[in-house]
Amino acid sequence: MKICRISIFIEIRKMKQYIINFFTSLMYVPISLLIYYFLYRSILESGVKLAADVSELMAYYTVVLFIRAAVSHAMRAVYDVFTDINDGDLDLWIVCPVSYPFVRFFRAMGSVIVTVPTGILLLVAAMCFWSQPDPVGVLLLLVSTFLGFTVLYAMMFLLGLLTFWIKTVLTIRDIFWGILSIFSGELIPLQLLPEKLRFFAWNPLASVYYMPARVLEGEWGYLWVQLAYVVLLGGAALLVWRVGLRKYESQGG
Amino acid sequence: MKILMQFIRISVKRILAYPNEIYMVFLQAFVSVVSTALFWAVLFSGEEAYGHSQEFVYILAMIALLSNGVQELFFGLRDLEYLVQAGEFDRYLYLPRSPLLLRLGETLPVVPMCQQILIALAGIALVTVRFGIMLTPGRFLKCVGFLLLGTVYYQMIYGAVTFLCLRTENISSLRDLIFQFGDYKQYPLGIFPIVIRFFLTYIIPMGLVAYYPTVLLLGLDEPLPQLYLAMPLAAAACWWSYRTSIKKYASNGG
Amino acid sequence: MHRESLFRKNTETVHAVKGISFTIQDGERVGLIGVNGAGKTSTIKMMTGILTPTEGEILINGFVPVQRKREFLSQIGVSMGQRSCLFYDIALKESFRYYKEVYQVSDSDYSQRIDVFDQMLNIQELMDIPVRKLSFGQRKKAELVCALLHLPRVIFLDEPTIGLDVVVKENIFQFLTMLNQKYQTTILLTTHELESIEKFCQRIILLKNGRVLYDGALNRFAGMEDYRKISIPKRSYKERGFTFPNAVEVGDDVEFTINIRESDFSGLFRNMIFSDFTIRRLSLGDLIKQLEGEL
Repeated sequence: MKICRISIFIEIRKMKQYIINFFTSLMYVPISLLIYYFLYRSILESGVKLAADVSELMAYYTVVLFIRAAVSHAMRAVYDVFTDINDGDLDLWIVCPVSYPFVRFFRAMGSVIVTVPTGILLLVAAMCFWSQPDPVGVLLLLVSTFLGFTVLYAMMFLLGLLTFWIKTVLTIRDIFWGILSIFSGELIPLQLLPEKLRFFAWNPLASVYYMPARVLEGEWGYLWVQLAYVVLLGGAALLVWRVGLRKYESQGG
Repeated sequence: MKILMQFIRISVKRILAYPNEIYMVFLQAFVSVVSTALFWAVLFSGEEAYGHSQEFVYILAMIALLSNGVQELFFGLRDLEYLVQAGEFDRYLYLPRSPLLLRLGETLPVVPMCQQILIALAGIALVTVRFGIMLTPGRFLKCVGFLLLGTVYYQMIYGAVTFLCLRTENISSLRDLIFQFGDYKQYPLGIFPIVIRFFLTYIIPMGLVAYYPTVLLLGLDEPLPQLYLAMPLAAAACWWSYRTSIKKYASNGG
Repeated sequence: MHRESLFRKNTETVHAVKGISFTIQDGERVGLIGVNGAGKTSTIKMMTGILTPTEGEILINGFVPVQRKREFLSQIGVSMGQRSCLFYDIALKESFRYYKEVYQVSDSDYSQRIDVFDQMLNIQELMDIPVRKLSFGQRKKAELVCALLHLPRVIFLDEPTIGLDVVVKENIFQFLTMLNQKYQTTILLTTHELESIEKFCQRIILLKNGRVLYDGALNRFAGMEDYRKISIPKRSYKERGFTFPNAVEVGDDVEFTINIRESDFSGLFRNMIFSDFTIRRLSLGDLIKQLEGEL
């Protein structure tokens, strides 16, 4: 536990850079919101019926974009694991009496431990313009966002571990990003999907953006779903790590 | 010519070193198309049009993919900043060829570029057959020509910003801002107000690499942007940025 | 407490090099030496056109490096020890073929040169191996081949043997000596491995804080020929009542330096057994340390 705490604190010391990156990525939120606003306004003005109106959709996308800016550091996991394995830097980790997956996770957690609450606070400030945010809802949004981050991190870590077998995983990561944008609710709110496809709202990728957005609207049951995915994917990551380590070739010299 | 063949050879050899990559890149382009198609399919949900026909938005998505493929020619510019920070740009300066040519050539992703272009062309063919669109060679050539022109224009603006990293090293925020506007490629320009349309045509010209080529391909009656002044200005900005920044290049590492 | 302003940036001008001036003739082998931060790499970067000097003029074979004319770049070869120019994922021969085209080396010249390089560096056996699978020493040899494939008139080597074992280093320096003797190639080399400089370079340029401290023949550096380092057992040192100001204890012995031109040593080793003492010339490292101590 101590090493996990220290890992978090190491990353907090780099907070200046993370905060700068976070605020820089927040600058892009209006750009994305503009697209969605004009798009959905154009669609709805032409008479198309969707399961939400423009303001509900804008509220949804605002939440999603803020969360995306706050948890984006999780995306690095693939690249970090990929370079550790391919460059032989993993040597330095496995000779230490620490668990590589946990240390990596807590370092990633350290990088978002300030940006996530900051993002949530800014979101709440933005939300005050169109609604009265429920304090309990906001608190649970915070919890839900951290759970979503953990799920995303676990998936990214798993992808990175594929390097043990297939040496180059960066294109797989790019494919995953494409799939993530659909199934997480980033591209389109999952409640807009046709009835037959609504079950996608329960898929693990939905834990990252869609479920936190719904938790904020009062659907707290999603928290248990996220927790279940954390346990499932975390366990899978640890198992794959153990199996993959046997195949480690330690390049470089 | 020989050096060009070497660039292609190295690119192909690289991808053959990891054969799985060939399938992965194909899959990536495919997923990109599917996600766009799904997006529009959900929004249309049976409706025919909302200012733009279904075939327009699907062709627009394919042209956007085609432009992504063409823009791979300039892939080497994307991580120029990190190259400079790591001191890896030095070696381009003491080789007897243009540093930019070498950088773009060495990182040219021939196979992914071809795959994206092929998938895009296949997608265009599919949409034209599905919606019974009559395509003529003339319209196709105009579309491709304008796409190439738009790509060059866009890359000149992008290059003008990117080359600043030779003097300041850290320009990722500004560069990422330009990248963010890449999202606008997928959407018909008509949904945006005139100010944004102007911005997306002349400042961050996303419209030039997707929307207007689509208009040309479908033979729609819409005025095209006039680039007679904009192109030379962009070229001058790009050239100036490179020349002045390379003089101030301070290298990294010892 | 030092407070940093959020908006105002305090800047300090650091002169990487200042007022250095030297001329190198064709075919010379010159070692550019100095401690970290002395300005060695900055000097090489200016001479290869990577950096633009703030003041002064540099001419290499009549060319101004920073203009980066193709004729100039075709006449130089550069190897930066800590930077790789190889394509990591593919066979080594692809990197060689690439640089063959960059430097426009003809097919016949390319084959001939690879054969010559192979005799000294054994690179043919590495040709089909992906670079990432080569050992560090093999990669360094391959880097050198890439830099020399076009047989440049001038070679700039920045730490070419860093991290290499003795055998590989020996190979590389024999190879460089062959190039210098056969093709009259001018070689400018920076390294911290002063034994290599002693063996390979005829001339050294010593830099400190961006300035030239010494520029001349190696054997005349800091009176290299005038000094000797003596090592005698501690017991003998004490018994004889020696009190040399520069004496240091090294294990069971005491080492001190003497100037053979200035001192009379006839009585120094009287009644001592040969095995009890050693005399050797000062190494380049010893001289530099001595000079650093004096300055």
